Amino acid sequence: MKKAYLITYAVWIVFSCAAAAESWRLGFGSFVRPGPGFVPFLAAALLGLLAVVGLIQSVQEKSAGKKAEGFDSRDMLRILMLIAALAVYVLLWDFLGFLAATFLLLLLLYRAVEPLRWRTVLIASVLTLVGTYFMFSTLLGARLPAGHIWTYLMN
Amino acid sequence: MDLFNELIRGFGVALLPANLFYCFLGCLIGTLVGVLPGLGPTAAMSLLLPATYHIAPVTAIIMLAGIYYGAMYGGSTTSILVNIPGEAASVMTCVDGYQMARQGRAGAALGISAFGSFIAGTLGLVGMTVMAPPLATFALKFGPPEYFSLMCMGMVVLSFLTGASMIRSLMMACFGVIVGTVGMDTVSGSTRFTFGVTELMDGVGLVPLVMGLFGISEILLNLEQKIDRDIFKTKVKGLLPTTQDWIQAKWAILRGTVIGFILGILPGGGAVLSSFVAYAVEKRCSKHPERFGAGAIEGVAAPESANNAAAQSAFIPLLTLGLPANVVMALLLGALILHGVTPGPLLLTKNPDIFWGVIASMYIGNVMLLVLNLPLIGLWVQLLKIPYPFMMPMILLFCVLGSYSIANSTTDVLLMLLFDLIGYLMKKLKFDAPPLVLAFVLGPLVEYYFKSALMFSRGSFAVFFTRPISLVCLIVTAIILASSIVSTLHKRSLQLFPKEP
Repeated sequence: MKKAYLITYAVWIVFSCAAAAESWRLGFGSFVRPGPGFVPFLAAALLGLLAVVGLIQSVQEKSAGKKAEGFDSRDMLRILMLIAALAVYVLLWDFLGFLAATFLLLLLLYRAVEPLRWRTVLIASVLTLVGTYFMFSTLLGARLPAGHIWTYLMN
Repeated sequence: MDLFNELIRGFGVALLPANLFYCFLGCLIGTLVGVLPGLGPTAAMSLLLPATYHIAPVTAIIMLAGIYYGAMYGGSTTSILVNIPGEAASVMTCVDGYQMARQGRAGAALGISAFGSFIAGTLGLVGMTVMAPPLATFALKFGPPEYFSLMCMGMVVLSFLTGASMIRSLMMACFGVIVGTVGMDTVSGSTRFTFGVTELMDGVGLVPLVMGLFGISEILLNLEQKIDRDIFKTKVKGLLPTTQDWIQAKWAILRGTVIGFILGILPGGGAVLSSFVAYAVEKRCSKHPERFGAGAIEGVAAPESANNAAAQSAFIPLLTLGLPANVVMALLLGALILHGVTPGPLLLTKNPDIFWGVIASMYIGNVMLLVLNLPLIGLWVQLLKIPYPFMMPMILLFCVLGSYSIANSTTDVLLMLLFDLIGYLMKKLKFDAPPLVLAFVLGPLVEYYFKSALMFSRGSFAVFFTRPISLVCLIVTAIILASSIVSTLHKRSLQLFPKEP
């Protein structure tokens, strides 16, 4: 866990430096006439300072000598893949349309989380798709993308 | 008499058919969220925030508030029957509630928790009705320095109480302030941290941020932990507590109510902390503390009463000062701002319908919850049997679509996914999300009041120390920071120089 914290605090220090530099560029102003970068600069500076204190504490801390608690590489990979799948799904909306893209995503999710039988997967996917479409498109009036491919095929 | 008249006016608003319907819907969803482990009230409220855009502000707040206090009611069911808290505020209910269920007294445990919640919720509301108006009048004296100091105190107290590490919590608060400044600066008109992305000109949305940090990241963590949901095979009967139960639990309910009410008002307190404190106090007050942990009815009544009283009193600082006491209230503050309503002392005079309508709806909601929780207990138990693999894709899809439907923007969804990854890593590394959300919501207000105070005093920081209310807030902040530093140094010295045995 110690290594994970060292890396984390280092990332926060880099982030705070970048945020402070950008805030300074935006304009710090003065105490009488604070500029747009005034508050973000102070917040970034304080964040950096706290991260340095955290880093020093982590360095001084005795290493417990055990594996990073709660960080399993297989779990991490699964989570990253799920987030990537959701990002790809959203980016596919314009091309495939909401209905087709969502149906594919649901098939993947119902099958991947815990391998269910294909028949169950299909029924659950269709029901979820119809329910969410009805709720968001019909009840809430969200404009869900139709998909270029269907417009192209129809013409 | 004025108070009574205003309350009648509030009931006039709350009893409108649309408001009654949304109050019921909020209570129903809240109970559902409370019953089902893996999705807390914060995630559910952020999930449903987009759905409130099309309804009137008072109706939206009535529904969102219903979800919050409804979850406090529902959370006890899973704690008692499955030994898994439906949400964090019901952790202490597991200890004695599950033991009571094992002894065949599940009905009594569920009954006393529902009645205790009702009594505490109603007493909390009475306290709120009496306290809120004078506090709002007092808050009219507040200027930018007072608001700035009060908000700083709120963020520090929340960081102190919620976090495993004060440093990490304060870091999250700073990060929240920075994220809150993304977009166009209303004073100078210049854009900040947008990096050419047009969609970021209006800033980072509250919904993508909260859904990412609380909604999806909770699901990701649930994916890793297999939740064992063996419902205790017992017949739930005798939901009406016996006279003996009432005698044993009456003081626990009243003490829990007082503790919950006080802690709910304080920044960072809220339902979770109050349920822990109420349980500890009850155990200490008991003549037979050995019964606690072995199925003492007071051990169920006290935390359940406390978390409901806290859920009601947490509205006091939000509605009177515009200051959220916890992350759920921060979400409600964001919802009010999104609807063009500014919470604070002027809410009472400018939007009395919202102020009194929401309060009156809570009285109605408490009765609805009692009806929902007791006769429908069998239905909630059945719901617990839905396998998680069926629910997870639905929740994920709701998060994605909820985020998208606010502005029909895929950028919001991608932002949510980014915060979802950040939220997951934060939970793994024990960085707390509540200070981040609170600072994100309060950030623009803190900036406004800080700049206004400095411009007013011609750049002198003395303005924060020469005004009594501001000075008191800063002293409290300094004491909390100092106590945290002293405690860290003490732990460190013990670690470096361990005491000789």
